[in-house]
Amino acid sequence: MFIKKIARLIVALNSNVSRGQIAAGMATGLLLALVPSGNLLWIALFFVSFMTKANYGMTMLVMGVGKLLVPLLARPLDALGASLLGMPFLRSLFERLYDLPILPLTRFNNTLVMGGLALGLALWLPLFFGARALIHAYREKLAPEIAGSKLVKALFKIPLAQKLAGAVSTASRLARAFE
Amino acid sequence: MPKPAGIAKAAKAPKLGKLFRKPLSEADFQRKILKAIEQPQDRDFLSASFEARDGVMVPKPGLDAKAAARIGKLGKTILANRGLLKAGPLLATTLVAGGAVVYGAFFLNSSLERLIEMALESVFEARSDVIGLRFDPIGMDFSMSGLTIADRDAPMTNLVETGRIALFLNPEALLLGRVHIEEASVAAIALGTPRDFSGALPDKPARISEPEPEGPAGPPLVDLAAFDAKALLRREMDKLKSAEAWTDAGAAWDGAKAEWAARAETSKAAVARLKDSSRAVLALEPAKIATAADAASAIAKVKEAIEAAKGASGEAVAVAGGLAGDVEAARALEKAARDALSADLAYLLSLVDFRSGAAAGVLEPVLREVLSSKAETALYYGRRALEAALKIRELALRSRPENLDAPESVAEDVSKGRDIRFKSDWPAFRLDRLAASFRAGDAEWSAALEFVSTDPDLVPGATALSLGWIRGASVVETTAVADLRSASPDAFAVRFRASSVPFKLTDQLSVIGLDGLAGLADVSGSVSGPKAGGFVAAIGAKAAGLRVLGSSGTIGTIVAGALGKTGYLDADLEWSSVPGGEDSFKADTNVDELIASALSEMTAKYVAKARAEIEQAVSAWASDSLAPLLGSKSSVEGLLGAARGDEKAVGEIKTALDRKLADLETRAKTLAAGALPGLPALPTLPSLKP
Repeated sequence: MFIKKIARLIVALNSNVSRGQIAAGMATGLLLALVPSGNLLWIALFFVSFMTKANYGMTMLVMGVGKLLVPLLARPLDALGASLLGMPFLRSLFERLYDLPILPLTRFNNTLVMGGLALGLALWLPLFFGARALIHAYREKLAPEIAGSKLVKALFKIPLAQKLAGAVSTASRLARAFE
Repeated sequence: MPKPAGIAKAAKAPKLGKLFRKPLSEADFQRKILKAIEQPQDRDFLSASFEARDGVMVPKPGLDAKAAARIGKLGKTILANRGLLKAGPLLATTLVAGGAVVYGAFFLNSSLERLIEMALESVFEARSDVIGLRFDPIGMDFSMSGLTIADRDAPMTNLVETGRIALFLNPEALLLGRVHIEEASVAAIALGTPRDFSGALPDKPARISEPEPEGPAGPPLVDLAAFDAKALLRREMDKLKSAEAWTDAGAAWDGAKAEWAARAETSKAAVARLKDSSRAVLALEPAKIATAADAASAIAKVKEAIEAAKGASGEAVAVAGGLAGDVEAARALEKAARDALSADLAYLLSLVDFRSGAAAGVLEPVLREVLSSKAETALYYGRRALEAALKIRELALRSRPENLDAPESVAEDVSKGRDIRFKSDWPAFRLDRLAASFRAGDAEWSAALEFVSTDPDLVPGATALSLGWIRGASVVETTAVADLRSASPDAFAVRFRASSVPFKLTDQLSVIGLDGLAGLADVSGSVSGPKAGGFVAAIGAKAAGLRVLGSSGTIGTIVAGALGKTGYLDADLEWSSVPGGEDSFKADTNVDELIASALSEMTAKYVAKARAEIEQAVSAWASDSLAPLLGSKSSVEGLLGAARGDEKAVGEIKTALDRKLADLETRAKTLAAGALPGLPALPTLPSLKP
């Protein structure tokens, strides 16, 4: 399963899938990882990301890995959320939102939700542009060099690498079929 | 004319996909096609596959089917990369929404059950079970077949068990994520029902309640017909203050003797030696001294005697002063001891005077015990309810944004974050009214609970619980109000009224010789307490239709007869409890009067004799046991007298020596002037006064 995910990712990186879509998937995956699930905000973010052309595979992969690591950030996220929710100049805004229908169901008043949302949004654009640039550099320069290197050719003789290559090939075929 | 097949095949251009149907200008080709291709080899392939002709890009002639297919796929990729939104997921969204409805239909009730159980368990710290929950989101009807909440402090017992509960929720509040129960009804409520399995939660141990401090036991009534003053004195000895006070006074006298006896003896000897040594010096006669050298020698002897007198005088003064201080302290203690003896005598005499409050003193602990046992359950449930309400309020206050930085608001476990409650017109939880009316056994119960909220300031009234109980002619009505609103200083106030309630006291009245007492009681009263803790209770009770269930002893028999004649008992009680302080309990009853009048004949016959016997017994006790404790007193007073005598004697010797020195000096001057005529007079010698 995990190998297939990586295979899909490798396929996406080595196909003509827009680097913007992959970068958006990565940034959105991080946002969904940082915001705790089980509230209306997370569900809304998930559906929005689902309906956009952000790369779904990348979103799921980053979110899955991120969800494993985010508990380590619980304390700073809680502190960030608490400081934002406690800001006097934002108090009236939050009070208004708190009394609007549906919005409290987003649990924006939870310190982890607010901290995760704030950090996720703050990191979205830098991560998007950074990933986009890296993917571009990879596709233009690194990928051709890697593909032609002796090391990679030797690596493909290892069974695990062959399995990975098989998965990449399958995923690639599937991707082409969908294209 | 038909074309040759080979020519027709060669002329037909391969299909490249809809993206390439319309000819593109060179600029558009660069911008819309090549820039949208991410892989360099694909970009190179597309560039090589098209050529500019008449300002537009067209496929190069001779493209084979494989190349055309590749161009077609690339075209699809370019189209897929365009735009922001996908249409396909709408279908998926619909499926998910359908899934949510299915979930709601099959699993929502069980999820809600668990949520409610978790909420109750966090408040009551014991297992809670919701049975048969049904929620209709359209009608906002909410019901459950039953609810049990275990007692944290007695896990095999339910704190409360209910029958069917029906709730009507406010939909607007639900959209805001709050719970507002506009009306609720409960079919039956039972308290303290047994459980089949423990209701303890692993991390919530039962609280060990502090044992109730025992109130001071009242004095027992004295049976005058079988009166023994010495036995009374022995029995009451622990309560008398004299023994301790006399022991203290005796210890003070003994201490003074031990400290000063030896020193006073030494001082006395020193004064005696001084008397002997100064006798020869004082006998010197200045007029008989013939030479200046003799005068100088005599002066030296007197000065030596004066120095010795100074040493003896200092010690005599110190001994006399120290003894006087200690004797004064010992006398003060002795006076306190004599006062204690008088107070003890008065106390012992009061035991045979039934108009002095002795009967009330007996009855107070009895009444208190009766009230405690009857009010125990109500107070227990009241305290637990108040504890739960205060906890909810505390949690709500702690999660206000202005309290975010408070150390207690930072939870150790931040894995779920903290919910911040902003100022709002909607509390997180609000119950406007819960009513229950049911029959249990042969009694009709009714209960109504109003205005329970996580934020008491946002509901129009204080939390109020009304309880009613009717069985035959007996009626009990109670209204309890817990006002947790910020502006209110009082935490709770309870008013109750019970009429024609049967009662039966058994063991509690054995101290006055009654085996038991039964009757019908009318009780009314109030209990209120501030937020700081404690309570003040005022209770008025009247018991009528009294029946004595057996009596024993002289007093018991007489009281039983008096109760039978009077037929009623009145009691006005005041009970206050201050956190960290001692409870105060006062009872004003007609029991004193009742017992005193019942015993009036006996009093006339026995009291005077009893009083005389008590006085005699106390007097004997004082002379036999207490007075010997002051054994050192006379010797210490003797020491003080002797020390004062020594002090006086040494003072007189010193004065005489000073006078003798002055006479000798005058004589010396005269002798010196006669021996050297014509010389100016010698300067006056400096005075040698001490």
